[in-house]
Amino acid sequence: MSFSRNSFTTKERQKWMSVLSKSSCQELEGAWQGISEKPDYRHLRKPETGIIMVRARAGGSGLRFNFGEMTVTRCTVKTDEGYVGCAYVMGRDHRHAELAALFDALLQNSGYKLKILNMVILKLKESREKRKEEISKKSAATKVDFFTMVRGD
Amino acid sequence: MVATIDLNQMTPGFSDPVFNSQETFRAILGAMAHPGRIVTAGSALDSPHPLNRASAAVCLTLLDFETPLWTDLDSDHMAIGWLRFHCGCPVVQNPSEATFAMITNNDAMPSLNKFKTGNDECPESSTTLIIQTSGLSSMDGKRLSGPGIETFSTLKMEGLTERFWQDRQIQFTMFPLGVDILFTCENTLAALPRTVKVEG
Repeated sequence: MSFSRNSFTTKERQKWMSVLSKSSCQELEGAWQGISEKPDYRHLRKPETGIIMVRARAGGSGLRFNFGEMTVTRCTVKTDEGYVGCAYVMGRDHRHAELAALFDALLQNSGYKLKILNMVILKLKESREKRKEEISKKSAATKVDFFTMVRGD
Repeated sequence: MVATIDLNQMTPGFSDPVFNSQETFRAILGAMAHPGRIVTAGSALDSPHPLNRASAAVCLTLLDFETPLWTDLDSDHMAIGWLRFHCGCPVVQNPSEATFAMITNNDAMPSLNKFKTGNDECPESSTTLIIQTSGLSSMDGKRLSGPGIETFSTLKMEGLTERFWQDRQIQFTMFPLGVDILFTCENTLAALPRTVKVEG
């Protein structure tokens, strides 16, 4: 395997993959339409939906147990420049997986990388954080404090 | 540790996974039900060297994460990466652990008794062999008879060793244990289930 032309670290890629999978499909579609020079691509693996078993550890360090099943959609594309993009996203949206894979491929290309990191990934990250904040604000308003009354006996 | 798959050399599988695998499944079913009949499979497939199109189509159709595969290719071979990527199948080192076996070099093929032949309770828990041949024809060759064949049929598979046929003869006496075989060549395949008697 050749890593010679890779201009990114695994950590960087994990970060952008995470942002791409957690963004909405509409946002990704908008960002994709905004790219002026889109490369041609073909599917190595067309978008396909399946189930994965999510595993967890009690308290983060306990024994591993099966937490539950989750629907995921995955896709792998190859651009004409030879970059291979992979994506696994939650849910059943095929276009979402395809777009996330396309962005993953573009981000591996140093010619696109900075531009997309600044114009797309940063924006997606911000809007996700905003969404998260709104949700936590909404739930904060419904917060209930539980207390135990001491029985006087 | 499982070797990583090199995606840079990866080529696509079926263009339409659902319909193409149904089509191939139907072809395999037909071949198995009528031993010796030559059917086509994977005609439009771009298979990785050295797999022929029919072998690749059979793998895409039948293999998944529950079917360990044994092959005579080197473990870092591109074709193995292709199979692992598209089928998600585990690749095992020992033929006796495999549900499917892909044989590309018939001269160096292990003896048939090295594969799983099932047991009396579950004779179906055996290995299905996919053997690539350099030619398949029904004009002459071996004389086949048994279930699915009205009188007899003929099938010629090029490039198989005498030792293979001796093994097959011995295994035939072990029925209901034994292996089922699919012979492939380019985009054609024919089946030799364990029920079939081979003469000539």
